[in-house]
Amino acid sequence: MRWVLLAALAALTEAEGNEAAAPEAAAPEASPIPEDAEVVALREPTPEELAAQERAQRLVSGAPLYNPNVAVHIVQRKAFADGGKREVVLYPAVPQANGKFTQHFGTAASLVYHLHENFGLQVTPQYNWYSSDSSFNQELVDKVRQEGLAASTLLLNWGVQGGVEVTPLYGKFAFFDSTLAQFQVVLTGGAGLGSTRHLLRPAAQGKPASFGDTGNKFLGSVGGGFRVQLGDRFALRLEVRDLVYTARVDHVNGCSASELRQMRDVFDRLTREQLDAPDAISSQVAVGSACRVERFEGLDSERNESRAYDIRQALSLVEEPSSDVLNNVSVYAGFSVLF
Amino acid sequence: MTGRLALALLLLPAFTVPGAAFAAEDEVLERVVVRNRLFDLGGRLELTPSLGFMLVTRLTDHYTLSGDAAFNVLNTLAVEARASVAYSRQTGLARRIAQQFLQRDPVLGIERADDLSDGWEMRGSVLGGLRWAPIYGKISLLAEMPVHFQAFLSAGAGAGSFHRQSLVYCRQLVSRDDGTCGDWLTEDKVSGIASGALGIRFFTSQQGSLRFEVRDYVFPDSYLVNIDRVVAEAGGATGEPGRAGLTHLVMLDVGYAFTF
Repeated sequence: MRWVLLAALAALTEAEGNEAAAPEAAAPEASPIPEDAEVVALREPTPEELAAQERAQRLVSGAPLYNPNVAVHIVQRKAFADGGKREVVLYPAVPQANGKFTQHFGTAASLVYHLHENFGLQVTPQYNWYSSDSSFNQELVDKVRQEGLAASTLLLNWGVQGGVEVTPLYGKFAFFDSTLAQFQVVLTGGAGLGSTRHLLRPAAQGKPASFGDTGNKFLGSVGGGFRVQLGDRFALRLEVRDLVYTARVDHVNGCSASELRQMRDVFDRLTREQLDAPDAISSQVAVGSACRVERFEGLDSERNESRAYDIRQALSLVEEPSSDVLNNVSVYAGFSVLF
Repeated sequence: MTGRLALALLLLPAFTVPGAAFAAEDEVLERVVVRNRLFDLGGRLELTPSLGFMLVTRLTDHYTLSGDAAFNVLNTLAVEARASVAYSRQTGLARRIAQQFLQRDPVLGIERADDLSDGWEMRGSVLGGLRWAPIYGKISLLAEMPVHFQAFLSAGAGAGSFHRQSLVYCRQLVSRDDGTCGDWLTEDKVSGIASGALGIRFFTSQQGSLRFEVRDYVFPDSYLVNIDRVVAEAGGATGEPGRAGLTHLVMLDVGYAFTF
């Protein structure tokens, strides 16, 4: 039985082999070259063609730039890489740009950790060494006895906010066609906390202004600007940031309207000499632990008068609670070090 | 030994020159995009219509329509002339201040008052000046879409037409309770004006560019002080010119420059 199968298989294989060989044998007969066919000869390339071929093979910065059959998209090498680096930024001058009723000048710093080339994490503390009502608000008070609502004139003492920094755009510019600089467009966003205060009595007759603490507020921040690279490790920054915070004035120095009313009643009963006593108010009112009565009593050495004169102004701020959403838009100009 | 040194010195350029040429080629690739301007403006005329609005409003609000004609003497320097008309008005804040002030009876307090500063509204202006654009650059918005830009500073001077409505000088009281006045003191004047701008333009083609600029219009302020409100409300003349400074109108201007 086995022999029969092998014989059949051999016969089948032979038949397939003959079928495959048949076309090869017939091929010359199928396409004969005509006798009057034109004669062609292989041509050696000219020196110009050889040079062009050689040029096409040439690599420029690793790319076949001169090869006509290859489309080369030149992505220029970024002169400075940020990925994985840390950046410390100092903004010595941060002036408020949109001051209507308030005016702020401050100093800020920022620590940025560049997780990737175009994305980083940032934290930015800021201290406003000048925060007071604007000259416009002072003019309103002086000339027409009016001023902005308490919530609209809230001042930002300091703030800390953290978030992200994105650098989606990269470019370069030439100054007078001679100096080349690399820059990035910087976008920031974050959230944090800020300490606020409100003007109680303005500076007058050589006496400094007095302020009341209006508590810590939630801060949001969005911004954008430019970073110009100076060498591998330094950069200049110019940004505009908008610090957004909700402003509701219902406590001054931690004291509510009802607590301030108690203090006002005591204030009205006491004489000028009695008001100078260190515990003139606190000894006669019953207030909560959050209310810092000491901020409204005793002698203010800078103004040379009792702090109790702030009570009436503080009460007027909270008797009709006001709220607003404030946008503190400031210009952040600074320099940074990368490491 | 000396012969070998001489031979080495002779052969050195043969090895270094191709390398240097290659480096120079890299250098060309790295820098040519900015140093060779794609958009040349030198010797060309440009016309720019633009719209402007105020960034921060206090007592007045302005919207401007401007036309700017400039001749680029150089790629970096242009002589420009600018004409603007403005739609201006008092802000809601200003009207509220005036209303609340009028509700106060002068007999019961604030009998004499000073008007507020920065109350002039610009109605139009004509300026001539120079534009200096030392910065030319390029930014990659998308991987395949580089955008060329130019940053510039502009300064000029000219004349402007102004209008002012007082916030405290009411010549015909209609209602004390409502704080409504039938005839506020108004003034008009033509005076000198100066302007400075910081801007950037993004080229869209050889014939055009999109311009953004922050422009500050500066002109002398003036207002009356020591106004006797009782006399004023009786229709009499009162007050004297006060010592006033300069008014700044800071606006954001957006326009499109057609280059010929």
